Amino acid sequence: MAYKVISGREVCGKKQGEVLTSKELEDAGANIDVLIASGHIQASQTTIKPALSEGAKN
Amino acid sequence: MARIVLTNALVTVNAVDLSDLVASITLNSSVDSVETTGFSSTGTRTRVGGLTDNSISLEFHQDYASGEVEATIYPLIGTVTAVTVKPVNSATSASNPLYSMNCLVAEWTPLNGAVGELATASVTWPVSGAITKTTS
Repeated sequence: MAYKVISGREVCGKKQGEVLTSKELEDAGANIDVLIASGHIQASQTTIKPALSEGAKN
Repeated sequence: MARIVLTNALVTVNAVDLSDLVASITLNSSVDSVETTGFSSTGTRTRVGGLTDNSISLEFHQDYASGEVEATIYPLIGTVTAVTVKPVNSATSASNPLYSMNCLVAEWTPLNGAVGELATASVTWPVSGAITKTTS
């Protein structure tokens, strides 16, 4: 799951418009529900694909 | 080792950088003194360290706008949340350590101030567990 920073405050070091992953937020000990409710982040449509290994197909 | 004047400290609450809305930081750590005095010829008390108790005191400048102080902290009242502080908002190092902890948001003052004064909120939150000091 990815989240976009929508407030003017940096969240986990990311600025407005930048995208965070659930893992980054969880590693920082953040309460994601509260961050959404307080207007800091919102679910992003951006999907972060894992790196493909050599020979793998899409 | 250089002395330091705090001008650009970092404060995050629930991973949100609120540094420019914080006017003071005090990170407290104390250890219970447990007495172990027994009969001896020295006539002195002896002690060992007991439980460690940590807390952080912060003075916020109140701001009710979306995504600012009130919106960030009010929903956290009564919960344990991640807090980090650092002397200078730059790379973590031995001379600029990052202190990370989980604090119980045990108090909050949504409105505080007298006529003509800046609205502020001074809080002391107990730390749940240990403080982690990172130097790299």
